Amino acid sequence: MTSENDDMGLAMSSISMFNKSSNTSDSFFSSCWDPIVSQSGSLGGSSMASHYHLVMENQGISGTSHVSHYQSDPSFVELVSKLTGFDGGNLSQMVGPFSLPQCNQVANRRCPPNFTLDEHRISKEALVGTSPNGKIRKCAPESGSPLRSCKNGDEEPVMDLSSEGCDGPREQARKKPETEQNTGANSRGKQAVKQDKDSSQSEEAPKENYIHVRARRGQATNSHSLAERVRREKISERMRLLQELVPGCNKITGKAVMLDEIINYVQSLQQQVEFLSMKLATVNPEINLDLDRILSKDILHQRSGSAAVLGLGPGSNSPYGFSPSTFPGTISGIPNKNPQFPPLPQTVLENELLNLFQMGFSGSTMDGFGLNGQLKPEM
Amino acid sequence: MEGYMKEGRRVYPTEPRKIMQARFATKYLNYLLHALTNIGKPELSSTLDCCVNKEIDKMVRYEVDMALALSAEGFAWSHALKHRLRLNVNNNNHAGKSQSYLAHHDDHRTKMPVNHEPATKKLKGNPKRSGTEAAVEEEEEERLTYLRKLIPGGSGEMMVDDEILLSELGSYVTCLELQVNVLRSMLQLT
Repeated sequence: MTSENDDMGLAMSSISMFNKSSNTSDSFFSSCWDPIVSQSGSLGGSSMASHYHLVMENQGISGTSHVSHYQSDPSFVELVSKLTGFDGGNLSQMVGPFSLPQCNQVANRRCPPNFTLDEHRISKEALVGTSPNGKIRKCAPESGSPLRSCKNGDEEPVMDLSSEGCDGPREQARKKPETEQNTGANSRGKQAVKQDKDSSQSEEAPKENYIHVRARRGQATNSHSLAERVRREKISERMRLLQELVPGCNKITGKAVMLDEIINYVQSLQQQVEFLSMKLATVNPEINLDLDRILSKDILHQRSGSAAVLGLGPGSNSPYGFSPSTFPGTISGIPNKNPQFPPLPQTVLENELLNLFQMGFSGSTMDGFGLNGQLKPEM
Repeated sequence: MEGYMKEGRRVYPTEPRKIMQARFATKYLNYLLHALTNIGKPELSSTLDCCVNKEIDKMVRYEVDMALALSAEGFAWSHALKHRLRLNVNNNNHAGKSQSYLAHHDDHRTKMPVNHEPATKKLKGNPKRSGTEAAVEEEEEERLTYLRKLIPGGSGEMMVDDEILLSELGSYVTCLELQVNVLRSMLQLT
């Protein structure tokens, strides 16, 4: 159970670590590491989209061994249960709709988020977190089909909402916001009170892998429509998130129009990428010559005119990082000093990065490149 | 591992999102700059300029996409993108001709604008809800399928669920934005 909480604390550092491993030997590693990578990666990715500060707070908290506290926090438990229910990189799906209400709760309960993250410990937890790898993968097929499993001979139709793979030990702390279980074996619409008692009793019993949904008054309560409604709510939640991402979509109501906008935006972004890459191809020769210059200062100075200055890490002759094994660091003049690297070279970079961020960035989406000369090639 | 991280050494910014962005940018840049320098070298030995340009274009495009896929690990689309890139590389190697990623990419981009207009018109012209609900849903389905073509891996088995598709879209959009920013900054320097 702590391992699942440790999974929660993975976020960034594990991304880097798993990136390393998956890059070096793809065929083998990707099959084994992908679940965790997907979790942590998409967690990080979703953080870019929204609601990242929830994760950050939790990270900071976990840094001081509050692991046991997590289980008592229903909202957080819910989040963790979603995280460990591997659904093929759908962490953002899990984090997205639920982090909003939860992050308020979490923020209230643990007042100053403790930002002094112990990354070392997190990375160790990352290793621990991989140990239930098999467990996670086993649970995944169970959670794969959200709605189909609920009809198989259950006396009380319960909704399996996919991402709740392996929260076996945690079912006693269930989240109680807008969703409670409608244990409507007797699915009569108006008997809310009775169902309330039933549901509270059934909540005591271990109900794994399910999110409990209460039927609203006056609405149909058979399992199909409930599941349908839940699904629709999830989808509209995602659409809302997308609406925040795509610029200029605040006033749009309506799924179809919103999808239109998204399509246009994605297309325009892809066209931009293509255009820029063609431009890049034309200036490519100059890039060779300017590599040192680029990496040393210009990106940073030009990009963010603000106070943030990221100097080179100690030892500007350090080999460059993040080169896949197909590129044997052939950049001349830069000696490949360290043939053997510590397991988490990337975290050194992050250390520098984060120290840099103290000075604060300003401006738009892309405020500065955390470029650091002290990068080590992948193992 | 143990020697690197020490307690209390970290101070986090008030905007944690920047960390992710910076991380993405770092990875992306590092990969791409490496790749580009390696592209540049064989060019010195080639003779035909036009042919080389196309090749370089393709290679640069490949590297750009690869950088994106590698900088954003853990998403279904990045996985699919990596897969597609490798497939294309293999195809190119075997066939020797330009069954290029670019060509593949452009194909499905041109489809939508044709279908697009009538769909939206149909939507706007009907005030009645009940009669056109099916039509609305159809349109949404159309758009979703189109979106599936846009996002790498959208038609695969990973993204059969609509919810999954939408969340993958979210991450894909942000990564595209970041990528555009990185590329633009790179170009500003040279």
